Amino acid sequence: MKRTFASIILIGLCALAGCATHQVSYRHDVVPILEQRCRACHVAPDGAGYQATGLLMDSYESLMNGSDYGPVIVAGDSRRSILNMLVEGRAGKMQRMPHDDDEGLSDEEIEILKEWVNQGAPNN
Amino acid sequence: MSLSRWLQLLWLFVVTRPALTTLLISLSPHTNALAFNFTEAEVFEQDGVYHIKMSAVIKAPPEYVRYVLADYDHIYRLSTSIIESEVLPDNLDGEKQVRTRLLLCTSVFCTEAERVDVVRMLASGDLEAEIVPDMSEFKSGKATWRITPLDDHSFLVYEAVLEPDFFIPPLVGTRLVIENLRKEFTKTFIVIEKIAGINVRRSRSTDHMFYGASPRILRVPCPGTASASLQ
Repeated sequence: MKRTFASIILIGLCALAGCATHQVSYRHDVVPILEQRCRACHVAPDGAGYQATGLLMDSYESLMNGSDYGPVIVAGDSRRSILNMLVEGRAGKMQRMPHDDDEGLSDEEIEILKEWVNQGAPNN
Repeated sequence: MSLSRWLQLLWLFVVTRPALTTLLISLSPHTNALAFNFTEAEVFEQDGVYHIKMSAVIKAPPEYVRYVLADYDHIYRLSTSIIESEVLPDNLDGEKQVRTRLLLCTSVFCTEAERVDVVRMLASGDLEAEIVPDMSEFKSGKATWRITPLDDHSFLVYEAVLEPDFFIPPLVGTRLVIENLRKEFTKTFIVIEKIAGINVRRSRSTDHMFYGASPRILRVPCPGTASASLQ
């Protein structure tokens, strides 16, 4: 009985900790997306994205610092993260990021960013 | 202590945590830890209708405050509860409509709610938002933002009534929603002042329109993107 109880708890904890989930790497998975799709505009001093919002994406720290308006990432919560909201088009077509790119990010790229944020947006 | 004992204690904590949290919140007189100098901050529920009235001095002139509130393209900046937003085509009366999806979370439960508002700028310069019940998970609702000049600043009053059409656990749930509304609107007032302040500084430092008003106004070519241009 005790063993069964312990097993159930361990399985539950494992599920909570995301044992079966692939750990997304900031360096290997996220940075390439940001470099290819975002950094051209979110660069100081002349990037349009930087000029409009103050958001820089040249390092983990600057990304986590967010824009002049506040954080763009809520670690652990992609639903509330403005970065995810904008690339997913949840703030309307006009606000979808990246601007000037009709296709937007691929489903796979969107999923990587979502998973990374949901996993706590670690600097890994 | 044996492993199974530890696990039992852990299980007990997991199971009872929501109830304990609820109890602590219910017992605490006021859990709003955010600091903002409100003149008035009243939130209460009566017969399933939530009433909100909050007012404060915002350190920015009225036109800048009004601009932030009427910047519906960026309405998501005003609250982390807004997880989707969209300016819809005008309704048959030619009025602007704004759709938002809200994630309302307390320490015990979370729920999402769709909301469509008809938004109006009144002749006085105040702003009004009226929920469209057929397109919302609210039975009814109306909100006004009254903005009056106060020297170089603004006196901002937010007044709203909201009648949710989604399930809120009775008693404690209502109390938690009230706390959540108070907290969220406190954050919103802070953000309004922050963005209005950014716009003030921006307008004084350059000849551009307000900062963030329309990213396209401020757009300069991005490296490697021929389509981007000054607009």
